[in-house]
Amino acid sequence: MKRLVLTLDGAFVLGLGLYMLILSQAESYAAFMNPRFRPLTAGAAVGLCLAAAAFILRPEGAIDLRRTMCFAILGVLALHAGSGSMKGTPGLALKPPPEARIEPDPHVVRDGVPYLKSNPARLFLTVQAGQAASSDQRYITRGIVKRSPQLDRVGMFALLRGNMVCCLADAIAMGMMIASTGGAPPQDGAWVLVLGYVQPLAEPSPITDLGGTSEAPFSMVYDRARLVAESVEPIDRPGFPYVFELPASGRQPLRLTGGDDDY
Amino acid sequence: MPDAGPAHHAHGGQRASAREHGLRSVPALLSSGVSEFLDMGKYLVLGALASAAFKVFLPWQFVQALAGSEFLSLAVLMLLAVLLCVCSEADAFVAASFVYVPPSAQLGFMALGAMVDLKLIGMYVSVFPRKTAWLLTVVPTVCVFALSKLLSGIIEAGG
Repeated sequence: MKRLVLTLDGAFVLGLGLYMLILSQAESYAAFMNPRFRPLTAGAAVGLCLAAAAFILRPEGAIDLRRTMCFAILGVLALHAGSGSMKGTPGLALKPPPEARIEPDPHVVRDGVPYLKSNPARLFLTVQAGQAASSDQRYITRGIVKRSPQLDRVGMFALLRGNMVCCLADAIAMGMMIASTGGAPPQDGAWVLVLGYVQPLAEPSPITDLGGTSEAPFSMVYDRARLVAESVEPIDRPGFPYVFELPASGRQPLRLTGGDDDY
Repeated sequence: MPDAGPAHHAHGGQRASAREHGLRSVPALLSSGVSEFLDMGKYLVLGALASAAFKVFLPWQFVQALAGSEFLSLAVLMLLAVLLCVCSEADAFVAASFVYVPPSAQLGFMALGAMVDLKLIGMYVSVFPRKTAWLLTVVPTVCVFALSKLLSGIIEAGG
């Protein structure tokens, strides 16, 4: 009985290691963790698999049915969450070689005017760092609408995007306040595409009643500037709603959200 | 070349034996490591489940209402840090999102969360004697609270 339970414990750890190894190579990894942690996850998975194999061959220690139950629950949760929000993508998606990758154009041209693609979280960090270009710079961005009584009073709404700094559990919805030029504001929770330019505010306007979104329990908007919208268009929710933005540091800012979804 | 003698051969034999013993102990080391991982993993899983439940079901309006006073806001955010188990990679971003609390409360959230949370409390209780586990939980909490209040006072006096 003791040997059986310990072997089961070892099998759970081996299963966890294999799950981590497969996930670290799959596209759906990004549904759980910031992709910059892939090598770390893969390395930890290999170590876990080797250690688990050693444990299965020569198990040791006392049995603890509560810990066996905890790992069984973890296994069930992992199987349930395995597909993440990227269901349908290939299980193993290998990166194409650098020469085969086509870098997307960072601009979208509308009526002859170029708009720089920037998701709301990156726009937040860009403006906060003082790196937003002059008022001539136009931006195109898309995200979730978040309304609140404080924003409604000043005729604005927040445009947010779930930003995964570390992992899904700590994702924060970050974005900008949007001043719409006219018409009814969009519905709370709707996805919209906004074209406009950044306008600094004379006084900071902290929004304290924002709450969370469906993608993240915490939200924040930049309170010293707003995006004046020239156009607000409803869109469908993208297949993968999260972004992976980090503040600029001494090195180049990490831009992991690439491709057509880079705004 | 003069023969090194039986002492040299014995010494070489001891080195080979030690190397073999070391290699044989690697599986034992790995096995022992997994046993420790399983013991601690129990608290990791339970703590993660609890913190996920708090994140999903916690009424945030309640938190905002309690955050009206500086004293309460610091206490509430320190309690949140323990309940939410936010990792140190992202806690600054989460703390920054609490715009309705004073900076001392945000500081308390970041400082305490790294030292005391649901997972760690379980691990402390399982590894250390009860009194030590209690000290490891209470002392950082009291220190963080006192230092956050002190820093807040210094900043207010200076500003």
